[in-house]
Amino acid sequence: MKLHIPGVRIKHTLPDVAPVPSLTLPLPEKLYMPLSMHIGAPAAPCVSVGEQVYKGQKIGEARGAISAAVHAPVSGTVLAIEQWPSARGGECETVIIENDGLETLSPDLCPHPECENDADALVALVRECGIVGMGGATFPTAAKIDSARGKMDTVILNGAECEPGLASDYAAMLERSDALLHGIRLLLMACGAKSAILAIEENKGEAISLLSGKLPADGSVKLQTLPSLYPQGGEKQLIYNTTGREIRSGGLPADVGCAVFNVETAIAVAEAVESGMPLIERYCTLSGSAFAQPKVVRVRIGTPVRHISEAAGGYETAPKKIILGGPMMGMSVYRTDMGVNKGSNGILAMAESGSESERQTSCIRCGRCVENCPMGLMPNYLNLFTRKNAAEKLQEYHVFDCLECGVCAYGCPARLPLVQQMKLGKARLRAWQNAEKARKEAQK
Amino acid sequence: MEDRLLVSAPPHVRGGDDTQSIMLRVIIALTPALLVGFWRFGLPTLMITAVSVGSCVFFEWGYRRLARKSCTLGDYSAVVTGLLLSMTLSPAVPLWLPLIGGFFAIVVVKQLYGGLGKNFMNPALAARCFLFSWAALMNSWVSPRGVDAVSSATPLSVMKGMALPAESPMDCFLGLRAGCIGEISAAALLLGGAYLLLTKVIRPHIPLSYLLTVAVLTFLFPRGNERLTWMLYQLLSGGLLLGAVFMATDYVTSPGTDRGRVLYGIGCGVITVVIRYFGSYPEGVSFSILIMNLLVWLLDKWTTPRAFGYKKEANT
Repeated sequence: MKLHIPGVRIKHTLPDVAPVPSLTLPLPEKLYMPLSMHIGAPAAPCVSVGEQVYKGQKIGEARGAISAAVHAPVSGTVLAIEQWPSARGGECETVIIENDGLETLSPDLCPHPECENDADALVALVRECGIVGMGGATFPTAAKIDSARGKMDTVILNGAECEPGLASDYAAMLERSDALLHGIRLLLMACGAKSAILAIEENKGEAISLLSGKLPADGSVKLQTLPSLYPQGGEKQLIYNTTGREIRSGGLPADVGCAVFNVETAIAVAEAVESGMPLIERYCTLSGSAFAQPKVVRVRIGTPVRHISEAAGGYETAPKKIILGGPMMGMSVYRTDMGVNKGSNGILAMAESGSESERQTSCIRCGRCVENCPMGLMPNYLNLFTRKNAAEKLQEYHVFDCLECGVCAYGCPARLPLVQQMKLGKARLRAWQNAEKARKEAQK
Repeated sequence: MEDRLLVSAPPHVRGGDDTQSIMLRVIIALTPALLVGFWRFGLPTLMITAVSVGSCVFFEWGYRRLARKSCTLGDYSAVVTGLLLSMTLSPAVPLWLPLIGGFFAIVVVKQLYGGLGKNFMNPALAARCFLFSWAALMNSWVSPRGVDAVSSATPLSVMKGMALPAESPMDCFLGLRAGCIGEISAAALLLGGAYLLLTKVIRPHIPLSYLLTVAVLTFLFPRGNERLTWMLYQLLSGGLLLGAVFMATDYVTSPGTDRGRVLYGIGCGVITVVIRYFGSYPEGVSFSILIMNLLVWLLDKWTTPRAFGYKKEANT
């Protein structure tokens, strides 16, 4: 077995979450559907204010190849289409729907058995259903399949739970195992790949034992257990740790014959074929010290964060910090009235403010960041070059390859804000590159 | 309900170690060797250590205050420097010597370069070498068995004369020999080193490569006929263990990569043996580490890890 990419065991204050049974929450009165909740161009609204919409009806049309459609998660009335805070930060155009509580299904929804063996039809259906990567990256799935079709031999299913302390992937694998295996078969067919690897971290024992008993007899799907290290779910790391293939800098998984899909994405694909239901619901982990009991919930996309916390039993103590996503890369928010999106795998409410109150010293050159970096970079030197604005050095030391996974900052005894320094370093290098380009053009 | 939420950048969780806890563990690890020193050489050594630590702490505080910089006493690095400096001094030195040493270590070597993390030489070792300006004082030894200042040769100075010392290797291992306050007991130093390894403050690369290099060289080129005994005495005498475990592993002045650490340890070992064999001074540990300190930037550059995705024959 080849060497494993470095990673760290994250010790955190988050408790282990029991993944099942997941809780289905009462629906909110209003849902906020951001038209930009994926990588790529925002969707264009295709309903108007005051219009009656049905559950599963398309309300936003994908704009271009890298984009995703948006659907009504409930039946009701379109109250407004306006700028509203987004779970990705900032504001974006949002369709606000008033829930009529009737759950009337859109008449357009129907099973699509014709997609079982037709790759083109399946990709079209995936595009129509607004399916995106549900591990958090939210890259449009149809575009991913398209870019990789015929170029790959292995489909990798990411059941590694990208972030420590979350159990959304775990819950999905336990509760929707049949849909997952159906989804894997569909993705294999669509991508034209021969075999699939279902990669699960070793701390998800129940999912490993359940799924290993259900794998297809033809051996097309292999289950691979991985150590619970962070960032195990990173695309480049996952491909290397399962197949030993190394994507060159700036390359794509297809370059090494792989495509990676989150397990919940595969389930969404199966669901689209089985019932025609677009992506309007997902698993989300509620955890953190402000909650009495951590739990995994099924949420409709667009449900306000505040409604989810309250409907799941509210807080035990007043939260000082609320994080959308996981503890390592999640985003802390200052308001909670935005709707969750297709990538919202967790909501963490912390009763204590956490790392920022800690004592910072200057870098003591201990080298832990170098040991732990999953990309083999030297964050200690990158930090220095960023501070000195040494753009050429930032390039030489590959700042653009940084994942911003936070492993360096997590282990830093000096408590340096290394992730922000990497982001700043990238911005400084980009500015320098642009200036260089302009200078060269002026010389011509 | 939540009002006033805190917004901060990820990651939102942090590992357990911080600079202060690491320095504290170094202080704990130094304690056994210091205690052996106190036990063998008595009260004067306690005074020397107190003055050394006091001097380092005072000058750290005073300099930062005069320079209008933040107070950094809380990171305990000044305490560590003070302890290390006193451990490299003879138990017979007058008390003004560690006072000057503390000033040189903290102000000249560390703070003038920007403070913790910015100095390119180990402050305690650089100060020790500065104190060799008073060579006679630095080289007067005390017999380890009593506090009556009988001058006594250290095992290393005996070996400089190509003879084996009078003490048994076991005496050297336990600390029943003349020498600097903190260097006499190999057992105590190894205990401290094991604690640092177990608590993951240091990695084994530097001490192992350093000690192995010295072992191999002295075994291959012994003075006299008893190779193994000669090698054993070389390993157990002088400041080798103190240097290999506590000085060469100083984060700030050692390489940040494992391959760099191995090269650095080998370099320290080679220079130590060369000085011990060919220099006019019996001990070479301090000088070898300081010389290698100057090459750390080069070792870091040479041993920069290959970034992921930059394999030469990477799939295209």
